[in-house]
Parts: sequence; C-alpha cells; structure tokens
Amino acid sequence: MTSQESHNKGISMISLMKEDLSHRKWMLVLSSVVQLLCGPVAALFLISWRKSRILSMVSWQDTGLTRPDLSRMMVSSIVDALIVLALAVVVCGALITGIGGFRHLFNRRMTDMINSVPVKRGRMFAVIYLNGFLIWFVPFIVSELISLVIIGANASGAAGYLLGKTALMALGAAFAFVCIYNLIVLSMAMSGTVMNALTNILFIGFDALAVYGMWVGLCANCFSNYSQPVFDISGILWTSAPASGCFFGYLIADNLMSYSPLYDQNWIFIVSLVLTMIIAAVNLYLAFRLYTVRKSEESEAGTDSDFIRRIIRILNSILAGLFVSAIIISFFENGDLGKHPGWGVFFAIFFSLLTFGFINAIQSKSIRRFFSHKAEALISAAAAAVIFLTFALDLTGFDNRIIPKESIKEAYVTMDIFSGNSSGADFMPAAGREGCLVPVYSDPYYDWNLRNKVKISPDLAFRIMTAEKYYWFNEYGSRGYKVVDPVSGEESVRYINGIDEISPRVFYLDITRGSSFHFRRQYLIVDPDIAEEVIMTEGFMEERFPVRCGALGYPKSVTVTDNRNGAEYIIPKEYVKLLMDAYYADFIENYSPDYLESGDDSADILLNPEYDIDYGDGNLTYRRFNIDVKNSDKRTIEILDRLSDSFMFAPVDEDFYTYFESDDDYWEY
Amino acid sequence: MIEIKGVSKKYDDVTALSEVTFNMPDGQVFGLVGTNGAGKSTLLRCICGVCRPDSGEILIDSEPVYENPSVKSKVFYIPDDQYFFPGGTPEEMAGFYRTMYPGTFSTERFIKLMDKLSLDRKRKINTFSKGMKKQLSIMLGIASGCKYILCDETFDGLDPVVRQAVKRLFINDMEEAGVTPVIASHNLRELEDICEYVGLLHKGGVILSKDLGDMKLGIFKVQVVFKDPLSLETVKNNLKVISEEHRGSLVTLTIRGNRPEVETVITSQVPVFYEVLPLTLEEIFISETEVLGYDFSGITQ
Repeated sequence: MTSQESHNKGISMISLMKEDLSHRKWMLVLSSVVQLLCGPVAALFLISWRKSRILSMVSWQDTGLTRPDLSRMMVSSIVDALIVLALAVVVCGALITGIGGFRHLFNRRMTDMINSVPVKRGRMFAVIYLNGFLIWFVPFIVSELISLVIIGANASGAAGYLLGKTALMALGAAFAFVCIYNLIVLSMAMSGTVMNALTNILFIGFDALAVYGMWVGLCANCFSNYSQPVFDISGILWTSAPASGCFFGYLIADNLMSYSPLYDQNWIFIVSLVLTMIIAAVNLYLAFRLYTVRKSEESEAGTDSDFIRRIIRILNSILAGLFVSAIIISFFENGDLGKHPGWGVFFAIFFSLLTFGFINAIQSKSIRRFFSHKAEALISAAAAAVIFLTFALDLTGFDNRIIPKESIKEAYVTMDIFSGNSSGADFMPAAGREGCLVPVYSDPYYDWNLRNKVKISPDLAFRIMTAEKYYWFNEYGSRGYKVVDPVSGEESVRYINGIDEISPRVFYLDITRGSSFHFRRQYLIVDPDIAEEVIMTEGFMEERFPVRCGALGYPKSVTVTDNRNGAEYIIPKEYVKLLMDAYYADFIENYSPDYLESGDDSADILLNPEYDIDYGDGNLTYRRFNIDVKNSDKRTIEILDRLSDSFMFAPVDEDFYTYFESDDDYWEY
Repeated sequence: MIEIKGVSKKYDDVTALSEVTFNMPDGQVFGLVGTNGAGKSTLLRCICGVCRPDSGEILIDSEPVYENPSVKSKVFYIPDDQYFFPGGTPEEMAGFYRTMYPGTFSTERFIKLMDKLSLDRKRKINTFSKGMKKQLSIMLGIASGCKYILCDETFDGLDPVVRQAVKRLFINDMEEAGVTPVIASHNLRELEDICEYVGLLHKGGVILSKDLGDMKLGIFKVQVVFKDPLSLETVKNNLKVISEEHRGSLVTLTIRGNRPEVETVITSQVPVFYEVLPLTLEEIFISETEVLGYDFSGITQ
C-alpha cells in the first residue's frame, strides 16, 4: 500500500490518540495518583475523622437529631468534601493537561515536527484535546467509583444515594473541567510562551470579573451610600470560565435539581448557566480555529494578535494600578480612599506603569522592552489616576444625589434594625405541611441587601434620601460620626463616648424612576420617625421577621436555651403552640425600633423554633432559629415559668453510637 | 514533481521568500543552495506544509500540500535541528512516525539501518551526540518510505564515512524507489557529489534552477595570459565576463556562455597561454551571487 492510499483511508483517531498518550504517560500517572489521593484515600480519612468526631460530640444528643439524620449528614458532609477536592483537582488537572498537551505550540522545533506530519491540524487538535480530557476523566471516574464503594461499605443503605451522587459529581466535575480546560486551550492557542499563556488565562478568564469586582469594590469603599446591585452573583460569574465552571460544577455535583433557584426557575441562574456553556463552547471553537490557522513561527513569540496584546496591557495595568492603590490606602485609612488622594494617585500611576512594563516584558520576552509602548503606558497610568480620583473624591456626586419626589415611580425599602437573632426572612411556609418551610428565591431580583423590601410612598423615600446622613469614622483615636445634610451639603462631626449614645440605622432604598432606572442606596440615618414609619409599613413585619410574628406557621418543635449556663430544654409538644402564640402576641405588641434593636432588655433566654426545610431535593433539612426573649415579652416569660417544671433534657438517641452499622432504609427519608 | 509557483513568505517585516518559482523534478537529488538568510529553510518548511506561503502555491504531484494529509504523506521533513520527545528513544520516535506514515514506514528497514550505523535503538536520544541525532533523523526519513525527503543542512555534523553512506542510501533509494531527496545546504562540495539538479536562492529569490551538468556547461573559468593588455578589454566586450581576478599577468575570468564561443573569442586575441576549466558548484554559487552584490572580498580592507 502506498503512502497516499493509506492516508486516503486516514490514520485512525485511536492510533493517533494512543501515540499522543504514549508521550504523556507522566500526566496519566500524576492524574491517577492525585485522583486516588483526593478520592478513595480522602474518603477513608474523612470517614475515620467524622466517626471519631461525632462520637466525641455528646452534646449532639440534645439536638433532637435522629440516627438517619446523623448518618445522612455524615455521608453528605463526606461527599461534599469530596466534591470540593474533585474541583480542586479539576483546576490543577485542566492546567496540567491543557498546558502539557499543547506545549508543542511553544516550541518551534516541536511545532515543525507536529505540523510536518500528514495529519490535519484540526484532527491533531481533537486528538490532543480529547486525550487531555481523558487523562483527567478516566482516573477521576475510577477513583470516584472506589470512593463510592468505600463510603457505601461504611454506611449501608446509602448505595442508591451514593450512585446518584457519583453520577452528579462526574457531571459537575466534567462541566467544570471543560469550562476551565477550554479556556486554557484557547490561551495556549493564542500564545507563544507559557508566561504569555498564563497572562492570557488571567485576561480571558478573570478580567471581566475583575472589572466588575473593581467597580463594586471602589463603589463600596468610596461611596458611603452605595448599595450592591440587585442581582445574583451568577449574573456576572459567567464572564469568568474558571469561576463559573467551578460554581456551576459544584452546584451540579452537589445536586443539580435541588438547587432552589433552578428549581424555582430563577431566570438569572438559568441564563448564567447557559451563558457559561456558550462561553465554554466559544472558547473551544476559537481555540480550534486559532490552532488550525496558527503559523509555526508564532511559537516562542508573544500573543498572536497585536490588538489583544494591547488590550491586555492597558486593561490590566489600569486594574492593577487601581487595585494596589485602593488596597494600600484602605489598609492605612480603614477603607477611606479619599483621605490621601495624592498618594492614591501616585500609587495608581506607579503600579499601573509597573504592571504595564511587566506585561510588556512578558509579551516581548525581553526585559529591555519594559519601557516600550510609552504612549499606551501613559494613557493607562492617566486612566488609573483619573478613575481613582473620580471614585475617591466622589467627583460624580454619587453620595449626595437625590431623586426629585415627583419623578419617583416606585420606591421600596428595607432596613437592618434588630440585634442578632435569625429572622427566617428567607423562608416561607410549605403549603399544607406544618413545621415545614421552603426557601424564598422566586423573586428574580432576590439579593441580600434588598430582600424582603416593602413598598413605601414617594414621600417617605424622599425623606429617607434627604434625612441627615451619618458616616462612621475613626480618626486620631476619637470615634464618631460625620453628619452630612444632603440638601445643603453641610458637614459636621459628632464624637461619641458610647455606642448607645447614637444609633443610626441602615436603610436600603430602591427607587424606580421612569421605566427601568433603578436608584439604589443605603443610608445610615438616626431619625426615629423614619425608622418607626418604615417598620410600621404594611407587610414589613411579616416580610422582615416572619419567624417572630408567626408568618411561618408553627414550628415542628421548640427548645429553650438558658443563656446563663447553656442548658437546653425541650418544650413538650403539646405546649409548642401555646408558647409560640404567647411569643407572637408579645412580638406584635412590643414591635418598635427600640424593641427590635435593644440588647439590654434580654431575659437571657433563647427560644429556638425548629423547622424542616424542603429544598426540593427529596431530603428535608433540619433548621433551628434563635429568638432572644426580652423582659418585655411578658406572656412568653409567663408561659416559660409555668412550663419550667415540665422542661426536659433532650433525649439521648440510643442508637447514636452505632448508626454507621445501621441497615435501615433511611435514605428514602 | 514539486512545483513552486510565485511563493512569497514574510516573517513580520522580513521577507524570507519573494516570488519564488521553480520546479523540483522527480527521481533526482535536488540541491537547494543559497546565501545565509536566503530562505532555504523557509522554502523547505513551506514544501512540507509546516508553513503556509503568504502568496503563491506549492504543488506536489499537482496537488496543494498545505493541510493536505494525502500529499503530506509523501513528504518527510528532516529539519536542521530535529525535535525528539524528551527522554524518548529511537524506537519511540520510530513508533511515532510509524503511526504518522502507516503502511509506508518500514520498521524492519529502520532497525537494519540503525544496526548498520551501530546506533542503540533503546538508548535515550538526549544522550546522543549531535551527529548521532542527525543520523537518527535521516534513518527515520529513509525508513518513512516517503517519496520526497526534505533535508535541511543534513550533512552538517556527520563524519565523512556516514556522509558517504547517507549519500549512497539516497542514491540507492532514488534509483530503486524513485525517492527524490531535496537537500538544502551550504556545503556545496557535498552537494556537488550527489546533486543532479540545483536551485540557487539569494535574498528570498531564485537566481537559477537547472541541471547541474547544464549549469556547468554554461559557465566557465578561463585562465589566460595576454601579450597585449587591450586583448582583455576585447574579450570582456565580446563575452559575458562575470568576474575577473589578476595574479601577475595571469588573469582568471569567469565567463558565461558556450565553450566553443568562449574559446573562439579568446584564441582570436592570440593569448600566450589559456586554459578552460569547469567551475565547481561553489565557484558558480560565488560568481552568481557576486553579480547580485553578495561580495565580501573586500572585508579585510
């Protein structure tokens, strides 16, 4: 057979893959060893550790947990740890297989050899790419199966659960791997040296996230009234393949269908997941295209495209200048970047130029080129300085901005006003199941700052905007507040001796102006009338403190903790409703700003309503809330006094020490 | 046949090849000679499909070579500085090329050649000397069974015995299997022994490309002594004198043209002595490039 005849048939993919693999045995060995360590060995260690830890925690017997609860928690925590380890291996594995597999791109002689053989570049790409995936994936699957057997042998009855979990782990880890691997392969195809590839990985993988993080960080540090934008982090995470790959990979592995935002069809989550997949596919496509058209002479050179090189230099030097400057000033001035604008500008310019020079040197492979592209360097440094000053000195007037009352279309508010205890604001009652809750994630604008907001009048919103603002500061050993009148702009300083002398509350305001403009701010305001008006707004109490006013329904059980000695008692089941009714009545009667935040009225008793939480994954999670009972809660204290003779210690689960050996079918719980 | 049609290639602002056009006929050893930086290696890398020309095309047996595995399967490229897998052995390299050239790579021949050259097939290549690595590259190329073997500075680093052996192998394969070795080299004496067809490159362009015999028939070195100094001027006016060198009354002229015409003109001036000598490839190369200004004879002045 002639050469041409055999090539018309084509060299089989399998032969090419075998040949490629024969030169990457070390990767396979490394992958296998690491996967075994992070799989079966880690599982054995965790089982041994968890067993001894649980046995030593005698106080667990007071929690009311059942043997199946404990067993499920034990296995679940081990699997969770394995997921985290698997994701760590994913990151390292993608880096090693990506860089190792395509390393020939950085070596002119090797590129010549690979490109001179009679195999299409696209085919060679597919061979190297697939091998990289398999080098990581095959040992991963093997080690996961061994781990499954080990865990299963130590917690009988968990086989079904573990099989499902292993399948999800494989899916999640593969998802994360592909996201990161594709990014690395693209960076390799763009670059001529390892340093350039690493720079490109940072650029493509993290720069969008870094720009967002820098924006939020500067706003949060420079603008006292800045409130985080209202969207899930997954709304921006997709711009970073490594971050979103790990994030969604974890969620898939943890239990895809139980993740509530997905379960409740949170469109941001779903869109972000889809965008992450699209980004991964685009990265792979670009890597493939670049690889197939890549010139041999690009090996050992910088990044292929001059345009991309320029963007990398300028963007990263601005980011670095701003970041380092903000960190230094924040470190010395407790986050107040406006304290030393001169120094801030100096650091921004200096570190911007320094970063620019380093990237120059990396891209040109010559330290002598450190000072090249002077015009670009100056533009970057100037941009860093201008951005720093704009934020540090609030040149845009962010903090003093007021929306005219007549242009307010809708206004919402929430506030942080109570001390310490959990409010249950993230849950709502599960329909028809007493003592059971489901999480509240259905609002697409769900976020932590503006959760449980209630609608208020434009007039109240306007008064919140125009009330005196307090900004905490700490200067020359004196603690105090800078007080600003936002209308006149006048500033005064009020020094305080004790924190109780002044009690500003944090108000989160969300105003819609026109059809889409959102004005979001957080304010520190003392005005008691405003606080009173806000908490008395219809629906605020039920939204903000549902567990304390009875909006979550009766708990399945209640315990009481004596804060003076830590002793814990179980309220007999027949008295749960009686006690909770008493507390609800007290809360509603006493409900006021002072009551909510006053810490010195504590009766040193914690009321602990306990619920089952249904995240939709088929398993119920135990959840206990803590409510600080105050002396003004007369009815509650009276009931507790009456019941004190009936208190009993939480029962000891007799099977507690032997649950590992249990063969009950509690996995169906 | 390898057809090179108007091929140009630039590396950034440097022109490596400029409108290069010539053919490499089958069944002959083709010598690619050129000045430093003339573009010999670039041309070989374009022929084997490593580089894509910016313009023009390269056809092998009438088919384009770039990204064409069926055509590339006829070509084996032996670069000046061959890459070997780190920690690899000759056997592993043979395995690689056996996969890449299925059906044509002869393991048997590879083993035989390696044994004849006393190269250990299981020894790590990074312990080989430069010459041994070169030998290994050549043996891999010969064992590949490819029709075209492209060699970049192949004889560099080989000892004279191995050099002769390689030449014999090339000639043998050429005669028996129709292999066409293309050899780029500075060592023109080496090429002269083996090449039948030569392409001369200078500054990215082709000066000439023809059969070495024909080339030698069209250019001569004449050593002559004239009585009358004006005779030399007459000769120069009537013949294409490429270069002249004076050593006392003895003048050495390099003249382009056919031998009878040259001899007729010279004898018409009744020289005291004259002798027509064939040019070596090196002398042809120097003469041709001198004409194009590639002359460093005054470097010591």
